[in-house]
Amino acid sequence: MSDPVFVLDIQDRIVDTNPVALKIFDYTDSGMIGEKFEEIFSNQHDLVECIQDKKETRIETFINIKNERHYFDIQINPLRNNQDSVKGCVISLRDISDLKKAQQELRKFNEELEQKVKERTAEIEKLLRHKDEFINQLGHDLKSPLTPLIGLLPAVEQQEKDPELKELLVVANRNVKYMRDLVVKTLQLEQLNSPNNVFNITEVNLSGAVDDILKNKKLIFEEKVLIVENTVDKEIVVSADKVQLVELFDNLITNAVKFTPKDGAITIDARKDGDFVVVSVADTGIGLTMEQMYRVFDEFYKVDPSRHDLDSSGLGLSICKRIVEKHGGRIWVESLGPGKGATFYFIIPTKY
Amino acid sequence: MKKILVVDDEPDVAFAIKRNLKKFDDYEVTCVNSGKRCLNLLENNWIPDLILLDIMMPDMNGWEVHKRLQENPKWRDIPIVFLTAITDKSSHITGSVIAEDYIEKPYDPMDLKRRIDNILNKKK
Repeated sequence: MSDPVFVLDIQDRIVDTNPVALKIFDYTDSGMIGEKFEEIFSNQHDLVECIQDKKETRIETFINIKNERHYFDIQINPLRNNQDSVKGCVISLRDISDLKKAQQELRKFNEELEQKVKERTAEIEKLLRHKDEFINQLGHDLKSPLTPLIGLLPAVEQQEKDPELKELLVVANRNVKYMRDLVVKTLQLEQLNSPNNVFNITEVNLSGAVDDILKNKKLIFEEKVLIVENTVDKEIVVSADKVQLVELFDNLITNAVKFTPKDGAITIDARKDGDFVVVSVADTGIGLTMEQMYRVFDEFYKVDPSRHDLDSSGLGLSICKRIVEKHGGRIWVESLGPGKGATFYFIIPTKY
Repeated sequence: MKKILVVDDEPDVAFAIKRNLKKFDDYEVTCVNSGKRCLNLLENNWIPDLILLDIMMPDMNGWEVHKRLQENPKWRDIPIVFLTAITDKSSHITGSVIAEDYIEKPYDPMDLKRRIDNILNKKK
């Protein structure tokens, strides 16, 4: 169906129209021709005003037809004679009621969608909270029975004189320790992945933090006759969660000790780079292949899966990665290949 | 000999702590299995040199016990060390601030001894 059109003269009288217009506004030809536009559309003040100007105009308005609201996109074009003076105008009305209705429905649909998203988000947040509570409870209940095992088994092993029995206790002890590492590290990683876990960022002296860790590990270094050096500039201060930073160094240094043979060396160094500090933990250990370098930060990845390695949970470096990333930094490893040592680097901001 | 009071509702855990500390001959270790029993002992004027306090316990948890001890001028200066299997990081932060130390289970026996020594030597 085409659009209703009216042709008006300079006095705003209707001089011509089309059958569609007559049909829509329920007029006969004779009832409309010659009438003033403003009398037929007496309620449409906006429209009438625009017509009086006789300028090229486009307006959007509604007209009530038989008690039903119709929306129109109305175009007014002036009619000019040969001397270019305005002699009237042409008004065409495009019924956009369906479009309006669709727009309204879309708006309503969007509002409903938004409401649904809000409800679902609240649901997910509730589930996440439940998950955190569950993990916390599970963590507590897993750690509790491990406590007397970890506390007592080494003493039993130490006191046992019978070599056969002692062998059994060594196995039991090793597995209990492995179990403890798995539980503790899994819970740590879970906490780091939880959106509710917020870091407590303060200014930390980097060299001091490294010294504290080295002091705690002195016995282990002596056991393996390792030369461990902290060459970090004493002035360097980073913005970090101290507990997490200690955890990060602890994991990296434990890792270096594990893969460095007797009489090797481990060096912890750092240099400032703009608003960041690049920290390195270098060892003279067994090094890494290309594939190992790619995968070493993956969860539960162990460099040598055939070794049934009970010294490691396979989560330490994943924890390091999460800690560094949550500080807005990056971690990577470099090695010249097997047997040539490895250096773990991470960057961490000096300002938060 | 220094007196250490262990407050833990799990008897196996309390037993392990007692055995771990007994080895060193420096301490006399007493265990109770609830916050209430801990307060009872103190009310009877048995004052330990240090309290190892579990947090997740039925009836009265470790936070509540800590609060009660702080409220009483006679008990306020007893060093408290939280010894807990709670994983939640905010507990760790709060516990480290309000108590002398905060140790997570499962603890390393040598580390436990070292930390208790630190606190008791500092107090001397």
